[in-house]
Amino acid sequence: MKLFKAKKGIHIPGKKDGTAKLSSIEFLSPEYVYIPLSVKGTDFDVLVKPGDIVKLGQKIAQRSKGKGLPLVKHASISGEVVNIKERKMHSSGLPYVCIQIKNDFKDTLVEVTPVSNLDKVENSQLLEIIKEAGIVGLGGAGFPTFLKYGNVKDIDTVILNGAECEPYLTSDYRIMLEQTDRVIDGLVILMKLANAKKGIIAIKKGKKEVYKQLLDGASKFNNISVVEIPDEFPAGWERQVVYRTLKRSYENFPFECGVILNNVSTSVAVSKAVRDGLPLVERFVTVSGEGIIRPQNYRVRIGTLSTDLIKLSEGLADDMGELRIVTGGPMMGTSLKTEEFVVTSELSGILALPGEHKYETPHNKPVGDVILDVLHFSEHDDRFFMRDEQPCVRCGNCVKYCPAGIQPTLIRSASIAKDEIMLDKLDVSKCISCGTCSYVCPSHIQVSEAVKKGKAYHAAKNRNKK
Amino acid sequence: MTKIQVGSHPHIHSGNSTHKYMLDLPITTYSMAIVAILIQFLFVTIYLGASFSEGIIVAIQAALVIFTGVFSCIAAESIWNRYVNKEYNDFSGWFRSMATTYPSITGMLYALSLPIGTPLYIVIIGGFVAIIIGKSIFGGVGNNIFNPALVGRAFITIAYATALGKAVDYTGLIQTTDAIASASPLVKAAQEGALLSYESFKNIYGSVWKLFFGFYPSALGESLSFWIILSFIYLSIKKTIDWFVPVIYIGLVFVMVWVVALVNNLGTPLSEPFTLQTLGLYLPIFHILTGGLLFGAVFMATEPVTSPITRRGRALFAVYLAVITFAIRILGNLPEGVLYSILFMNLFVPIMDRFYMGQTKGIKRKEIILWIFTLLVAAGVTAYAATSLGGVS
Ligand code: SF4
Ligand code: SF4
Repeated sequence: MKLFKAKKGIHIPGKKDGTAKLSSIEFLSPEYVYIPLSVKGTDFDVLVKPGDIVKLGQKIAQRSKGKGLPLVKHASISGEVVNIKERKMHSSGLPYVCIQIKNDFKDTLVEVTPVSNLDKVENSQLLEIIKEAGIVGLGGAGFPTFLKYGNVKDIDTVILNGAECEPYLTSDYRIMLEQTDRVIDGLVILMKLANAKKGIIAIKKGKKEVYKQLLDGASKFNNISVVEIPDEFPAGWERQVVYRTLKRSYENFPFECGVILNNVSTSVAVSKAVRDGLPLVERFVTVSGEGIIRPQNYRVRIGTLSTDLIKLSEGLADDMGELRIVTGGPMMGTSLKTEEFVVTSELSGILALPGEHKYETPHNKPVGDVILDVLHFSEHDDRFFMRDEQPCVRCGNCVKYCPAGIQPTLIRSASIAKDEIMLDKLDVSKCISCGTCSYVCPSHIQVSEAVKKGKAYHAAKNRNKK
Repeated sequence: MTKIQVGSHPHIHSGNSTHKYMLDLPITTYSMAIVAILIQFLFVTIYLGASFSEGIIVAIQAALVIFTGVFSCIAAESIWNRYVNKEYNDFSGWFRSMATTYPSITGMLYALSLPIGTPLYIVIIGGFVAIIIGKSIFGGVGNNIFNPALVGRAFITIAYATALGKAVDYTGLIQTTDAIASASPLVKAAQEGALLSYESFKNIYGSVWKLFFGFYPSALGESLSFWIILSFIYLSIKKTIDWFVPVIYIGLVFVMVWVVALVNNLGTPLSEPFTLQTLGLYLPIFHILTGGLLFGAVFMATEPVTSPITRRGRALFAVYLAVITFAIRILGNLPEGVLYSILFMNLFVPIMDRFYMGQTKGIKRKEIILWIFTLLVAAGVTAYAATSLGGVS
């Protein structure tokens, strides 16, 4: 009975047209780059000192403590190291210690050892290349890629995730269109690494151009297919991609059901690392949103300042009142305090979105205005959202659309009441913080915020118990 | 310099609003009120042979009852919000407060469930009870356990039983000799026993079409089956209500009553000609079109605040509503089955929510057992009714 199953997703207006049709612009020559290390910066061994001359692709730092070792950082331009303790905002909203490099605009490359014939190299060698290239998931999680392929067994499928279900973002779309061969080549390498027999590229339904190009590109290989998944949020969530392409589900990690997932941009990075010997030094970034005058996709060096990109897009609109600067997509992205931060490998988009306004209870406001407010005619304006919070009417929308199949509004009450047992029963830990519940709530309640708090509370309590 | 705002994700919103959502109910119910007044007028002039001016009097009386019902709810809410919640102190504040607590919707639903002859003071008392006892003391919108309109209606049904018993009486308003003018047909039908024969059905109501268009004495809105069905289609398309709740509720009552009718040989379904009578269909249709079943199923059982939050929970809710309504109507032979069954099931909403708590992954065993149990209950009640009633009539 499909009817009574929880819905898997909700259609959200994509707002991608502005950027999807424009070819990306290369911006490879920032004056300075800032290679972010971490918040404290102490868990990295920095291999350079101020005054050193570095080449493009040179290894400049390596993580020595913590999980996911070794995480390697490279210079994304050639030039002189200015400072190794510079603090800059990271796209996650925290200030990171960065290595600052001044560009000499020559892009002198380090020595590279490209691999042209895949059959001649061992998997362990390939893994070493990927590890040394510092490749991490470019979709947003930033999980080191070599760890996924560290000890693979019983993997039969590698899925490339090109769903890009967040509105506004088109960087994966452009990369699939502009570097189709790279995407497929990367997939071939990843399949060899995982000893997988099948490769799938999952894209969103309705993207005809990309679909055709990918099909053309994949026609050389008989074990690569292109699968369309519905235009819904969050169809790009790993669990759903696996389910919708293969009808498989898993408990914690996709490899449990014989699948490894990677983002399409990661695949391009892998291809570049192996074929050209070039480490991860650049990525595609969407700069978009109502607050950006000329939305555009850019191919940029990692460590570029966001302000450079915003400037290229002719800046922020100044007639819209408060803006939100969001890194990532509008549903799950983080809103930052400043518009200046560094482009990191995880950053898929820089958005300037219209701010929210709290509804003010009227005092001697003209009645006509109050009536209009109530009917929310202002909401038809894309550039303005009035948050008019009302009590929960238990309409069930959040329950209907929650992709994790839990009951956000009940969790919200339990979270406010700090009812730990209830939170446990409601499976609060299954929430993926996708934000759908807040998005659909007609009462404008920030349900996902409350759920997040409940989740944190529940996690803290459980940790204490153990 | 552009100012930068920091906030939690998501940074966009669907643009849904409770106001938009709640606007669909006035659209259907307020138009229904106008239709109700019109139908009252047509009914007394065409079927009861009243003169034009008498018809106007009846129409005015109907309008008065509706107006008083709505007005009393708005007044109750205003007083409560002004003096207890201290929410507003000027006109625009008042308007805002009324627009966000929706007494006008409660009031209209309440008013439409009243019969035409309800004394106005009772209407006012019921309206206050609906808002204050039904909603405000629980903490306002979203916190009430019972459907406020039904609380008001149930209160006056119990407290003023005699006054309301005469409420569908048109003899005070017009001169008529028609027997139907003085008592609710449902009450009359109840006197005939639950297994109404086709002859007495014909005698009391005339035809199914009269039932369908509301040409019989009943509560003002409950009899307007055609309008309720139109509203149902509208509300379902706009996704304001879950369409499956009324469908399950009404469908199940239909099936159960039909089984009773067939078992007791009220029709001969296997032989020609196939008419409502021979198929025994008139009995389920009669039960669906009268007694506010349609009205309750479309407007009351779907009210989000007082129904379970998960969709499967709502389906279960609808099944139990059907079973209880059936039991009260057929076994208890009481016309107010819908009213009490919805109020009764409102009590169980928290339990149903509890049952569907946690991640929904496929269908749990617990749930299958519950459904089997539920269907067994439904079948059992039907079987009991079908066999035990046969002896009575
Ligand atoms: S944020 Fe969590 S609770 Fe809300 S819809 Fe997403 S998964 Fe469900
Ligand atoms: S969507 Fe909002 S109003 Fe509806 S049940 Fe969830 S929290 Fe309540």
